[in-house]
Amino acid sequence: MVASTETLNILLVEDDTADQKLIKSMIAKQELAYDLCVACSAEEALAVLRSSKSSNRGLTRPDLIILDLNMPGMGGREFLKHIKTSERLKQIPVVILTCSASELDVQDSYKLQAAGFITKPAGLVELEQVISEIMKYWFMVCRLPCKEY
Amino acid sequence: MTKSDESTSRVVAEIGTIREHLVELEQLVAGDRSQEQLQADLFYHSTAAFYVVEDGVFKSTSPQLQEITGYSEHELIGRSPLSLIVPEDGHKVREGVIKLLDKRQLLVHQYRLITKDAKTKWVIESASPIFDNGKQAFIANLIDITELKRAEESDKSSEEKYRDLCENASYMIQCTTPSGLITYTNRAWRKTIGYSENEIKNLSLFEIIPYDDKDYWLEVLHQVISKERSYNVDSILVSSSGDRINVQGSINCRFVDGKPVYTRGIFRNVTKLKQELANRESALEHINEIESKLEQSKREFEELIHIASHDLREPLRKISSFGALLQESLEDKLDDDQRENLDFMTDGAERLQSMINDLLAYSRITTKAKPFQPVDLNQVVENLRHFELSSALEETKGEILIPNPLLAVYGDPSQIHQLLQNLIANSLKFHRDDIPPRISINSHRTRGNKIRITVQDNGIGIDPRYHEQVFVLFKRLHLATRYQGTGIGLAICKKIVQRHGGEIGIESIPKDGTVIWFTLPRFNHS
Repeated sequence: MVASTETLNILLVEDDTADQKLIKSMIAKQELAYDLCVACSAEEALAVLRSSKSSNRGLTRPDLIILDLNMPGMGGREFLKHIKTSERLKQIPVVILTCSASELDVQDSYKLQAAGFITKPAGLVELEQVISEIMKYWFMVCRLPCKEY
Repeated sequence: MTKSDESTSRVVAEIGTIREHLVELEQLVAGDRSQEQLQADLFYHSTAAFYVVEDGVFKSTSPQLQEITGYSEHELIGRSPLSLIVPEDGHKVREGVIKLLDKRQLLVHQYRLITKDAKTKWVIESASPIFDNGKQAFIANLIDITELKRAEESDKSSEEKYRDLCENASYMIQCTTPSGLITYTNRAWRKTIGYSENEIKNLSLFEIIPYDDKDYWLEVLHQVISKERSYNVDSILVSSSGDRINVQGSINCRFVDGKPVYTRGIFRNVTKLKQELANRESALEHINEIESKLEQSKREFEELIHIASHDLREPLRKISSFGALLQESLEDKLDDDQRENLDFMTDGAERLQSMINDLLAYSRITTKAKPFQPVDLNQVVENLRHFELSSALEETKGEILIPNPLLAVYGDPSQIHQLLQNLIANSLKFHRDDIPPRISINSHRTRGNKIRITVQDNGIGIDPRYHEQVFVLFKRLHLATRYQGTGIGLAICKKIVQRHGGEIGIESIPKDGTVIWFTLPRFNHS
C-alpha cells in the first residue's frame, strides 16, 4: 500500500456533536495527513462545498465525504441526491456512516450512488476499526479522482 | 280431470255403445235372422253382461254375467236377480224395476251385487222393458264398476289426506284472492299470526303487513297474478298482537283459462332464525373488533419495542464509547477504586447494550417473520455443528447425537435455525464441571399433524420450581459471573415455537440433565 503524499480532505457531515468528537478522535488516530472539515447539517455541508475551490486557495474540494443519514433539515438522503446530480461534485465518494441498520436505508443509499453504507458500531474499539478501514481503503487502496478535473 | 271423472266418462261412453247394440238386438229379436252372427258376437264378446229377466227370474244370461257374479249359467237361470243384490240396495232396485215395467222407461242405476264367493261388487245396470208373450220382461246389460267406485273412494280419501297435510303442516300456508283477501290459512299460519279461523274470513293480506311494505306486497301480487311462476318472498307479517314475524317462502297463483283464481303462499317463520343470525353476527363483529384491537396493540407493542430498542441504542453507544475513551485516557491517572467505578459503568452499559440487542432480536421474530417452507432439521443441526456452534463444541468437547434422522418440519427456516441454535447452545453452556456435554436430539410424529422434538442433555438440569420462569424474558437463574448471557435465549425459543403454532416445555432433573421439548408443524410431502 502506498500512502498518499498529498493532504487528504475529508468532509464529515454529522449533526450529533458526540459522534463528531468520536469520529474526529478516531480519524486522528490514523497515521495519515488529513484535513477534516465538519459540517453539522446537510445545509452547512452544501455551503462548504459551494465555497470550495478546485484550487489550493481557500477550502479545498473534499476527497471523501462521510455522511450521516438522519439529520434535522435536509437530511443525508437529500444531500446525497444533490451531490450526485451535481456535475462538479458527483465524482466525490460518499460513505454513509449512520445509526440506521434498516435494509430500506441501505437500498436507498446505494440507489443514490453512495460509495458505501456502514452502521455505526456500538463499541469504541469497533468504531476505531471501522474508521481505520475507511481511511485505509479510500486513501491507500483506492485511487481518487484528481482535484483539477 | 280426476281418476273417477275419467272412469265415469268411460262408463258413459260404453253405455252408449251398448244401447246401440241393444237396438240392434231388439231388431234381431224381432226376427231379422240374417244377423245371427252379430248377435253371437255381442252376446259373447262384449265387456258388458247381457241377460233377459222374465217374471222376475233370469231367463237368459251372457257369459259375462257368469264372469261377474261367479255363478254358472245353470245356477243363474230361474234365479231372481234380487237374490244377488246386497240387501241394503234391494229396495231401491225393486222400485226401479217396478217403474221400468209400469212406465216402460229405460232404467239406469247402480247397486251392489254379492258374488258367489261372497264378494261385493258395484255394478251399473241399464235395462229396457221387452214384450215376451205378454209376460213382464226386460232385457238388461250390466257393467262391473267396482274399480271405478274404489277410485272414487280413494279420491275422496286423498282429498282428505291433502287437506290434513295442509292443515297440519309446520309451514305456514295461505290462499288469497288475486286482490289479497285471505281465503284459507292452515293451523301453523293461524297460530303464528294469531288469528282464529273466523277472524281470517274478512282479513286482507294488507291488514297483516307493515304499512311501509304495502308497495312491496302490491308488487308481489302483481307479479304472481300476471305470470305463472313462483315469487320468492322474504318479508314481514304483523301478528294480531302486533309482533313482527319474519317470513320466507314463495307465492304463486292458480290460473283457470288463463285467469288468476287464487294465490297460494307457503312460508316459514324465520323470526328466531333471523334473530339468532343477527345475534351471531353481532357477536362475531364484537370478536373481530376485539381481535383487531388485540392485533393492533400487539403490533403497536412490537413497534414500540423495536423503536425503543433502536433509540435506546444511540445514547447507550455514547455512554460506552466515551466510557471507553475515558478509560483509555485515564489509564494511569486513576486509583483502584476509581477504576472499579468506571468499570462498573462501562460494564453496565455493555450489558444494557446486549439486552437491547436481544430485545431487538426478540421483536424481530414477528417483525422479520418469513413465510413457512419445508425445513430439514438434520441439515440445520449439521450447519450449526460446523458454523455457529463449532467453537463452543470444541471448547466444551461436547457432542450432538442424532440417533434417528429427524423428521421434516414446516416453518420459517431462519427461526428454526435460531431455535435449535439457542437450545443446543444452552446445553453446551450449562454443562456439569468436568463432564463434556452430550446432546441428543429426537423427533416423532404427534397429534394434530405436528412433530415433537426433544433436545436432551446431561448438564446441570433445572429445578422444577423454575421450569415456568426459564421462558420469561431476561429471566436468569444463575449469576452473571458464572454463566454469561442476558436470559433471552429460551424466551426467543418460546416465541418462535408459538409463532409456529406449537408448544414448548421442559422436563428436567437437577444434576441429571435437561430435556426441552417443542412441537412444530409437520411437513406433509403431499
